[in-house]
Order: sequence, then C-alpha cells, then structure tokens
Amino acid sequence: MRWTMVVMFLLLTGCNQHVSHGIDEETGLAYWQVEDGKISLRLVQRTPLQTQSFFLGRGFTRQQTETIAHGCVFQTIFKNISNESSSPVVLSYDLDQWVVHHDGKQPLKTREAWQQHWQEQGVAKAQQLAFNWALLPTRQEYRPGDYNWGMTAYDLAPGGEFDLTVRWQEAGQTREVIIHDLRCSTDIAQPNQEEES
Amino acid sequence: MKFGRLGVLMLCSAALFNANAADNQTLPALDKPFMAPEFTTMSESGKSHSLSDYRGKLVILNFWASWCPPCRYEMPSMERLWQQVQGKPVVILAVNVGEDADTIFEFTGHYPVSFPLLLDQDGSIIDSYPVRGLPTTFIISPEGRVTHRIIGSREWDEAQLIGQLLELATPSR
Repeated sequence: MRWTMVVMFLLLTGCNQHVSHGIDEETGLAYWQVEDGKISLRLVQRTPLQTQSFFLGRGFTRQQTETIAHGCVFQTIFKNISNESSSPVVLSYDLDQWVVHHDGKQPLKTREAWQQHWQEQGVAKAQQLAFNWALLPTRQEYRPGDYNWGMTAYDLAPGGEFDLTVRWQEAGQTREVIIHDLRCSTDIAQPNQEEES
Repeated sequence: MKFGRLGVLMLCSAALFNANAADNQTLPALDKPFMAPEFTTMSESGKSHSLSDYRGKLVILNFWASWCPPCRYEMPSMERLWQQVQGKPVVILAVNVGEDADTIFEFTGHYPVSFPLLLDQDGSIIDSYPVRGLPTTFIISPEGRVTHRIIGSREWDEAQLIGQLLELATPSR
C-alpha cells in the first residue's frame, strides 16, 4: 500500500526539473519547455500583433481579431519523442484537464469555446475553419514521432503572468507538471528583460 | 498568402524541430484500420479527383494548409518522394483545408509540387476523417483501407520510410 502511494505520488506530482525557460532564437520571444525523453512540450510567446496579423491574413476583420489579439496566446508544440524501437509509448492529453493559475483557477479557452464565440459573432465558415485548425487540438493522441503545432489561448491580458498545470496520459498513467511564471507577451518583445528574469 | 519575416522564422523553427526528430521516422499503424471515406473534389488546377480513382494504388492522403509551418516544411520532401515513386503504384493527394485555388496557386510559387493539390474549402472532406490537427497524413492501402496515421510532418524521402511505403503498396500483404 505504502509503495503504491509512493508510485502514485511520483506519477502525479510535478517534474519541474524537466522545465526549461529561455529566449527562442528564431523569434526573440520567451519560451517554456517540458521534456523528459517521451514528451516534448514547448510554449513560445506570440505577440498580439503577430496574432492579429495571422488572423487578418485568414480573412478576419480587424475588430474580430482584436478579441484574440488583445488576449494571451502561445505557439504550442506537443510531441511524442519516445523512441519507436527501444521504448515506444502512446501519449495523449485533454486541454480541458490543463489548469491556468491566475487569481484562482481557470480553464484554457479551447476550440469549442472559440467556435461558439465566433458563431455568436456571425463569423463566416471559412474563417471559423481557419481559426479551428490554427489552435492546438483540444484532445489528441500521439504515437512516436507524432506532433502538433498550434496556438493555445488564455483568458488573460498581454503581459499577464500565470502558472500552468499540464496533464497528459502516458501508457495509461496520468502525468502532471506545473510550469511556473509563464508570461503573456506584450506587443514589444523585450528580450533583455526576459533574459534578466 | 504572405510569407513575412515571421513566417520564415516559424518555418526555420519547424525545420529545426523536425531535424531534432529526424531519427524518429515512423509510420504509426492504426490499431483499427477502417475503410477510407470516399470523396470527389477539384484540384487547384481544375481537375476532378475521386479517391476511388486510385483504388489499386497506395494513397498517401495529406491534409494541410498554406499557413501551417509543419505543412510547408514537409512539402519539399513529399515532392522528392513523389519523384522517387513515379512508375510505382503510389499516389500522393494533398488536401488543402479551407483555402481557395488562388491561395494554393500562390503557394506553389514558393513550394513547387507536381502531385495533386485538392480543394476542401468547406472542410467536408477533413470532417469525414479522424483529423484533429494539421498536418495529418493517412496511408490508404490499395484495397482502400486506412492503415496508418501520421500526425505532424515527416521527411518523406528518407530511405527507410520509402521502403515501408513501397512494401505497403504491394497488394494483399
């Protein structure tokens, strides 16, 4: 019983030793990365201007883009990096199980919530499609080598800070890590400030 | 479609990300293969294509969008694969999700490919397949069964991967 409790504790508690933080060399924006030999999760800041430009390019009006651009968005890459030949595992997640810690607990704003929002706003089907596929899937299952690249959106203002509880399933076991002090980008990237933090 | 500085940077990131995983090339097999949903649609060049036209061949069915960095990243290797399987019973169908023919035409100026680029402007084709993110690629057997699903980009002209595909292209395995 005691050993079962210990194993459960190890599986469910944070693995912060695997979380790294730095400046993305390509974009000059901050990133946070979780990596443990099986999962690789990287969140890179997106500036409001980047996000607004992206959706203007997909046919949204400026007014429509402000809804998301004046929020908090990260480019997010979730990948199964387990080795197919030596230790293959299947990974899966459900974004509804991830928790944003900022003045209490909040959920992520997933595709389904956005779809309802855009439908209420009368946004055209083509724009809804582009938006849907630009976001990280709400639920996904990854075999070795599989990965997705998409935006995750948080109901916070630019510059806001939060902790993020990330949960995923690995060979049927729930794993969890807390990424501390994630920071939403503002419109002006401030790499020097990021490096000092 | 505009390829600004950010787009180039994102593509570089995709390339670096993929390079790190280049030694992990796999074609994950589905636990439960299923019959491929039929569709008929137009290509960017105005030709009609039905999936059933390709029965008897291995079909590599790729779902993509021009704004998706991993989708753009894998296009050149997919074209090299296409060149290497000419004369073999293998076909690539790349279904663009949600964009119009003009956008795809402009895309081919930056990423010249010679396999069919198909239109799915209303998302009805992608909705008939179990896709949650782009790019996703399905391998459809010569008998019309979806046997493998690949999520994210791959280096499609890698020798081992081509070998796997050609083996799958052999009927009645």
